[in-house]
Amino acid sequence: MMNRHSNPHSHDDSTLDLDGVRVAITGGTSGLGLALVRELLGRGASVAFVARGDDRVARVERENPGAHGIVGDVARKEDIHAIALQILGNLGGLDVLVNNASSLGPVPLRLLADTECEDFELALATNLLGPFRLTRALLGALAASAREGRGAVVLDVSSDAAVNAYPQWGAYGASKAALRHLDAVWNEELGAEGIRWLSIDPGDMDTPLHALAVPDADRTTLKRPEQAARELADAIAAALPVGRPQATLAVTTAREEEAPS
Amino acid sequence: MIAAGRASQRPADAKLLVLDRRGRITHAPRSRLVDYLRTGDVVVANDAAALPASLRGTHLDSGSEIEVRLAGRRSLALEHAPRFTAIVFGAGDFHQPTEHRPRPPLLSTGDRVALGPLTATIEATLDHPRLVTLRFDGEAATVWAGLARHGRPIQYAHVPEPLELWDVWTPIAAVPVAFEAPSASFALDWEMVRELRRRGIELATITLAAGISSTGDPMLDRRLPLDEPYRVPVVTARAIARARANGGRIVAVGTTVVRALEHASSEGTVRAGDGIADQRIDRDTRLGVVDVILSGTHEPETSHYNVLRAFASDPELGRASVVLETHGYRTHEFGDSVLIERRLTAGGDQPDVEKLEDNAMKLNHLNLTVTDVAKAHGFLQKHFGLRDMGRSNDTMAGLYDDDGFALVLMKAGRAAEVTYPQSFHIGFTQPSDEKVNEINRRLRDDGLDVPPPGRVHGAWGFYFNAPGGFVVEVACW
Repeated sequence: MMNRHSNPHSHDDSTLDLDGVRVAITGGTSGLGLALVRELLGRGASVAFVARGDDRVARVERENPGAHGIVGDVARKEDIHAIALQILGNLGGLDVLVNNASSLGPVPLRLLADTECEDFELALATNLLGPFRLTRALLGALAASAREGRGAVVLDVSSDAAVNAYPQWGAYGASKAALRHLDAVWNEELGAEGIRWLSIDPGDMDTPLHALAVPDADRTTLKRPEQAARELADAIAAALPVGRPQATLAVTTAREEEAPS
Repeated sequence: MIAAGRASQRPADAKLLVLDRRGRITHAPRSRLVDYLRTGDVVVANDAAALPASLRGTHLDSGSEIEVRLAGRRSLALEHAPRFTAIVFGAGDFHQPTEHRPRPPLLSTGDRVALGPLTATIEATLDHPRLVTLRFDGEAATVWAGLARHGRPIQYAHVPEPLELWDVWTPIAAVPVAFEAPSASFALDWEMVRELRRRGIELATITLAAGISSTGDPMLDRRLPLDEPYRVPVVTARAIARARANGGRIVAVGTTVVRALEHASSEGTVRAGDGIADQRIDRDTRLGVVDVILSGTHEPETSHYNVLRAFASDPELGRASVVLETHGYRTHEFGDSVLIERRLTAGGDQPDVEKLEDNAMKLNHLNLTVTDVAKAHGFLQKHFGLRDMGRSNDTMAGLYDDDGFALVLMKAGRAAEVTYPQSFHIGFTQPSDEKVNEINRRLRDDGLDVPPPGRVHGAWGFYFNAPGGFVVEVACW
């Protein structure tokens, strides 16, 4: 386990560690997603992350030994199962999915009346359809984890724009509001299967996404993504059952016979 | 049977043939599967996800075009993704039936193949010119990325459209280790999972790396299924033990589950953990754990059909095959399903129920006078599943129901008319309102003059004049 002691929680509150928990994070090469990759690795989780650019994925993978990088675009229907296959293949199953990748829609932000349909569609594809599709593709794995007593959590990163009407945040806000509602319905429908959906607004953070949205923001007033990542990791840990058994599939004891050389 | 050629896992009209432990056959919409299960049963499904296991590429030593179908592995350990048993085909793709596919070039140990972004070495040939052990270059993660990018689900000529992973991952797919989908689980959806829970029927899973179902090569097909690694989770072993202790049945979703559970069991107890299923299940297998199988419909002579022979006798299966054929059931992975309960065996483990029923007093014979014996006889068989007793003629015909009730139809002497008192009727009680509606629909579709169902004496049902001059009631109480 790496960086164990860099985490203020891990040595004084063992209920918040995530030893052996298998987590996948979308949008994992910058901002909150990258901070989460590091935070979760620090708490002992097995982590796979997804992002669009191969170079960035390779770099983050290099800088964070143990993390599995997957190149893919959650906004593209055709990529979803390829992403899911690699998540499950590399982690051997899944306990936690963090749908973090987000699109603002039009950049710079625009009034709804000035928003091109294509930009709105991109926000919906990334922030709503992508999480829905990926969650559905991984539902079997999450349910299996829940059945085995390991718990299963889907954390959808939300925003205050999901509940408040901010001018120029229409495409983003509407997509996040819909995602939040989706989470509520998921919980109603499949809560009994032991899967928990969390919709969490991490607050205004100093991230590339925020810089795109509000280029002239005073960065000193913004939350550090590392702080938000700690809070999200705490929320994940709190939603998982205490005393969960370790996953066995990825590192099974079954030994493959060496072929004659 | 007709092959189901459309990649739809749960078509609205999917059918289910139920063959129970006494050999009785009933039909139902497959979405009503849960009606044939009981509180306390455990449904065990295979949660393996299908790999994109078909890889096109080149045999570098000869320059020939090939298709590699990954077909087996030594363990479920996912970090061992680099090594597989594989079957190699020559040029072409799934549009051509496998039995007509050209052979691959001569394959030798040490040969190199390029499959899209992946490269691999043939580590061994396995006593057949097309069966090899293949080792991919690179780490597991590289192989996963390569498979995700280049691999396609294995498919056969009866489905003309190329399959995508989402076509073949079952709703419960969790672990990408299968080479073909454990397709019996296509029947499950989350609504059904919820209903199972509501009815106190537990859903449990095993993982078995389901191998490929057909190669088109008779020599190779005889070797199927290849050895398949599996895992039984602790919670599944416990659920099975609980159900067996409480008289619940173990319902296997698919032949792969039967193989895994029977392999993992001894004296009725299923062991949790990993194993490699290397046995065949066939007519001679004495099942130790599984009581019921949900399966696709399979043609005789296939290894899947052989598994069914462990559940029901050959004459019963033969009769079921005829019924599947005559009722337009569809076959193959996207086809309809059968639910087969393990037969009662002489000296088997469930004789008490039989005995009780033997001693019970039952009304089991009725003689009905009708205007047209042949019409009434045909009608009751077609719409209510009664079976011909044989030796019928124009003046007399007999029918059995699934309980052995004998209904005899007799011609009304010389009178052309039969006049029963107004309140006289026979009835077929149904398990659900939907079933009543369905029968009503079918009767209407057949051109009978039938009133729509409604509330009658607190039940949902209807009465109508049946061919032959008597009144029939269909109702759910």
